[in-house]
Amino acid sequence: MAVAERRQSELLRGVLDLCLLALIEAEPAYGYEMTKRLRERGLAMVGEGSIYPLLGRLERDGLVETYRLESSDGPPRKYYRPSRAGQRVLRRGIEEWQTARAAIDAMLSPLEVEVEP
Amino acid sequence: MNEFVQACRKEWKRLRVPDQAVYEMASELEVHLGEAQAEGLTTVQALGPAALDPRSFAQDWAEARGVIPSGNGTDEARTSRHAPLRGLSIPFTLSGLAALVGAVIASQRPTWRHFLGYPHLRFVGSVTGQGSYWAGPSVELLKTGTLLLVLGIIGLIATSAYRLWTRRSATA
Repeated sequence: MAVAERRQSELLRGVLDLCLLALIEAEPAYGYEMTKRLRERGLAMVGEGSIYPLLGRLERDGLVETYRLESSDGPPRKYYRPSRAGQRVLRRGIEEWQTARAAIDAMLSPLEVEVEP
Repeated sequence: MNEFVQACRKEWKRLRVPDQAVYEMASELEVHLGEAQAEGLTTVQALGPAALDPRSFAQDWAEARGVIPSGNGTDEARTSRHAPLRGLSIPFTLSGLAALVGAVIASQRPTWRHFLGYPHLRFVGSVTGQGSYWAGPSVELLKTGTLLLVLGIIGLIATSAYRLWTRRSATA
């Protein structure tokens, strides 16, 4: 895996729970739907299977609520949406992300790196 | 049912995950892989590196959901994943020993001894009433030796095949 790709993957891994909470805050979704939405937003670099243990943890911690909807083409789908506690975590997480991003921007943005060929 | 889902289900059963949780996780996974397949994706494309190790995937998920104690996923359970292989070493060794002993006895048949190039050398047999004559193995002993050899070889083949199958199904 290239350095840039690995870094992107690690960055996403650190905030994947927030990304999932944000996705289902916008609209409840089931697992595969979430991976599709992540892909559409260019966030496909994390192993898609890894969302299930993460969703399991969110559920165990009471940060998401789930419900089942019958499907015409297969088993019922398990939908996720944030609980009240999940919404609070999401709001706080967004603030933390913005603070961290501002600090990193302040460090990296002014730099102009010239690399000799 | 998809092989990966089956492997996960097997692991959840082994870990004594409650049936309801097994059903929920297996259904969720089935939906995921079914839709991915309909879009032309393979299991690896649909799940990433997790697809290469269904046991770890199943265990991580069950731990994250809190349906098994999280300590289960560390040393004890990780080593017990190889328990079937470890347990196999006993039948494998016994089969090998049986084949070896059987081969030594069976090789005492006169025709084999000639074939192997040691017509006068005898490893097993019985001493006659005179106490000085080495009579060689009885017909019954030779039959037992041949039987041991055949059973030992069958045991070696069966345990090796089981090992191979277990490894393949673990990475399917």
